[in-house]
Amino acid sequence: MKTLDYILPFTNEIDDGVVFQNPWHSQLFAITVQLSETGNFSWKEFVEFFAKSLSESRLELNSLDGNDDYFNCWLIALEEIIISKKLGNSNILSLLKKDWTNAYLTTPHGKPVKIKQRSI
Amino acid sequence: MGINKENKSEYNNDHAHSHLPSDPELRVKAIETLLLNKGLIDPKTLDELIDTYENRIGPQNGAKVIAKAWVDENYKKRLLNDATSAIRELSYQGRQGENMVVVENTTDIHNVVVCTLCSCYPWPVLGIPPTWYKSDEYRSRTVREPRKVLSEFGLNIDSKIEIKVWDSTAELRYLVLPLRPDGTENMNEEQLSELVTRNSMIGTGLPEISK
Repeated sequence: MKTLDYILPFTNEIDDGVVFQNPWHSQLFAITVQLSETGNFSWKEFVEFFAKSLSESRLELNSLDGNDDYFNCWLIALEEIIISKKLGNSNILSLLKKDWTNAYLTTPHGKPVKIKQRSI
Repeated sequence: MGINKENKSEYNNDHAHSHLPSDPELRVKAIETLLLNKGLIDPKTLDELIDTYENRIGPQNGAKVIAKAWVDENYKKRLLNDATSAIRELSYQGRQGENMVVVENTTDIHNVVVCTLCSCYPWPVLGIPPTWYKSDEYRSRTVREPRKVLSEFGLNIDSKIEIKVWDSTAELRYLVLPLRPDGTENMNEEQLSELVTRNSMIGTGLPEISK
């Protein structure tokens, strides 16, 4: 199907019909859908977290453009619902983020980036 | 993205190590690692989900629903009466399409759909919402000044036509049934479905006769 490719004046961006603008957007989307479909939370519950995150970010940023900032809010909502449902805690999420950061900074360019197994 | 640029300038002076992803990318990786270790997600299912919404489910599904309603008066009645069941007749169902309502454009009424809460959208028939649908601009202004927002899409609705705004929620999702364009009497269902754009099913556009 042909997609509309005119510039929308009110967003001043090209609507190119691309579904996900960044791979982490699609990954975040898929993780959330899978967690919901396997019964860890209902979609309605997730939407409550997400709406709260969007509204808090809006106060901070004034206006969200629906791209990275939208998925940043989605990410905050997913982190919060994971913690709320006790699927993980903020400490382990911070440690794992640190592990990945160190792995990227110490893995030679071109080699696969891996982290050591951590007991969770 | 600011974080990305900062990372680049800070770490890309030598190329001895791998490129450091942005802060949100690292946080998504942390979540993924946590959930994989706990056996709560399956990478194959994640890939399938992404492939489904990137390549297989999209507005082409909704376009078939609309075209069928244009050629089959009984189907149209069923669609307006119980959209979820009528859409399921074409095998479009599932997540975020459990409770659908179809609103019909007429010569007196133009419908437009928004989600003021977040970005609730009928995935089985339209796929994943476009960026503008998720923007604050669209979400807040469509309710306040729909006529102006539509004009910014290049859609100027006659002042005699009433504009109705429908607010989708996690439980109820709307799809617009646009008016069948004049001069399409000799077209079959498949040809008609080619005229139906995504935006015409949200209400921010009309079917494209020149397609």
